[in-house]
Amino acid sequence: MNAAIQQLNNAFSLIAPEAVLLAAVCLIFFAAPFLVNERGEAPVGLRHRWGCLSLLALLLASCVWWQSPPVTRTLGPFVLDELTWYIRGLTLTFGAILVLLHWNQADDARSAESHACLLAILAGVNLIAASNDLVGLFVALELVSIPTYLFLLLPRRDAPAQEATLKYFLLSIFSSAIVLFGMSYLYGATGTTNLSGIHAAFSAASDHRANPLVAVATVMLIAGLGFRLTAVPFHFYAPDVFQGAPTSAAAMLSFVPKIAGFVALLRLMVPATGAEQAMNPWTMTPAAIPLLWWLAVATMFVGNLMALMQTDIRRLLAYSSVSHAGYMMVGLIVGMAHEHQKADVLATVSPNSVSGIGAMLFYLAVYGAMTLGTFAVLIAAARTDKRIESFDDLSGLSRTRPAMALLLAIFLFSLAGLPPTAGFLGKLNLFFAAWSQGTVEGQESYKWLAVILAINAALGAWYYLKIIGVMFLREPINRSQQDTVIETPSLIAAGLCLVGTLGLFFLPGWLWVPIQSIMP
Amino acid sequence: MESSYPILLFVAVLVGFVITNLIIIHIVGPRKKTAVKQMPYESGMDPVGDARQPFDVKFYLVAILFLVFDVELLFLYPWAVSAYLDDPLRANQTGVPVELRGTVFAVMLVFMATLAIAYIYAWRKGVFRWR
Repeated sequence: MNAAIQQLNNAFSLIAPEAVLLAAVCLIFFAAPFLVNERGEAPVGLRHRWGCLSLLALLLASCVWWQSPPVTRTLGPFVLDELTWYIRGLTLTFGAILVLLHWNQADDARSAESHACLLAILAGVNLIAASNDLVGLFVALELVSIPTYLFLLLPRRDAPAQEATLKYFLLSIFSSAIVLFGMSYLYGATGTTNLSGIHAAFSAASDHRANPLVAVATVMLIAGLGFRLTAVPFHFYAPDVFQGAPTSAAAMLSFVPKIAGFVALLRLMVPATGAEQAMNPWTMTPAAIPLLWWLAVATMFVGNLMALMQTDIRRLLAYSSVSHAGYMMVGLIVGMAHEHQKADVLATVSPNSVSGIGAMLFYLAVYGAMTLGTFAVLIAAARTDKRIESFDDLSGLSRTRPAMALLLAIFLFSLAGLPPTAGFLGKLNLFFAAWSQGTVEGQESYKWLAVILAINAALGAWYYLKIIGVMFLREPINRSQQDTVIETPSLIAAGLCLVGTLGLFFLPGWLWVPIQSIMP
Repeated sequence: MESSYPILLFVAVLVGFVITNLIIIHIVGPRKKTAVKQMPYESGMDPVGDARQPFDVKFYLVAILFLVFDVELLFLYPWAVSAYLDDPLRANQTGVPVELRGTVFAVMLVFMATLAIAYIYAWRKGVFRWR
């Protein structure tokens, strides 16, 4: 039998965890309209059943994921390597936390569709990590963005939510078009849509650096995926969307598109490990590295400086997510520069103790724990009639709900990068990765990147500590906090995030060992 | 040039047919001018006035449902043509290889099932009831 045919016949067994999630999506969409009548009346408590079903699907997908060994298998349109394995674990774990956050956000009638959309988004992220073809990559990116539009609008349909959804929708399809444009030029330059084929074509040709098609493709792909990362100058939607969207949707937006964007960039610019290592595999880096360098610097500064001026906690968290995207971009650039140097025969390779891409992947997990934890507390500490919006809603939280205030303080400490939280270790890794790359001759700009990272971490600490000050030092404005509800699912989610935030500080090896197998 | 002669003939007949018909309509066609008949035709909508008038959302639902079946046909047709090409007379045409037929058939089944679920969803949500 032909090898290519065998590859195609086996390809679908490689995406079994995603197939489980998508089957659950189909099941929910099939069952939901039979349980909710046409007037939108649903049995009381139906949302709990959808939540349980989503968790069950994620558990089943996790079992399938855990059974699959992390070996490199490039089979036609899909690739399975350590990166896929790691991202799947990340998505499924934080997917469960997002399901818990979303538990009571949508009412009984609309809960089914929004849970199904969430599962589809998670399956899309996993497919991005597993795709080895431009077409598959684009379809997976759309599997993330199209359900996101529904996920933003379904739980609440008031004017701010509509505005947020429309803004996200228009900019998102625009960025998808830009990504597609970049992909078409990449295809034009190499003549294949298979990513392994593209990397092979680039390493075979010596003159691809001069090819203007490649430069255009690089700029377009970084611009289109920069939207998903909320990199400056593609961040303008973030504050408005975070402010208008339901809290669980804002939590999802602050984290899941970032995994999607970073993994797509890694897949496009780095050949899968174990694939035939070419002489010069870093196909697009000559144009990409300076561009990403400036984007990272702008993203860190704009995110932190704008966050200093915010009075709405959601807008502040939006800008905070922008700045954290900047920190992670530092890791990506350093990793790319390091690998680029390795491919160059003449250059001496610096002995990097911390690899940039490893630091980025570590930070991604840490960031997920601390940002989802923050949003979980915002959901859990809200009152029945009003969600937490301005700083005033948080003032004196330490008197009215001390446990909530303590939890939020820990997550904010981690976001600020203070010990003893995982945020500190994550930033330290990124800093050391950039610094050790900067010690190489001719690579001094990375030392500057490390310094800028440190300055921004200090800038960021200011506004996180400001929130903590409001919670602990100010008097409560409204003393009658009798109308608070006990949000058990978000409390569980916050607890899980707390375990991640503190646990990864004391036992970082637990996450660091699988990461080191990704980028040896 | 020899081989493209029939195409030229076809184009000539085509243009001739259109021109002849237009001329005949102008000569023998009855003319009853009414205000509605004088309006430019625009798919049943009033062509003069504010373009930003509210438009029933049901039209969009029907359009999307049409798209469901349109895409289905678009996908099924090439498969139906190429799936079982083992006629020895057409050996020069390449269809789906024998070893791959099972996989392709499974993919088609998944595709049909997905569309069926979408259809059932729309039906249960009352899209087909024109209220």
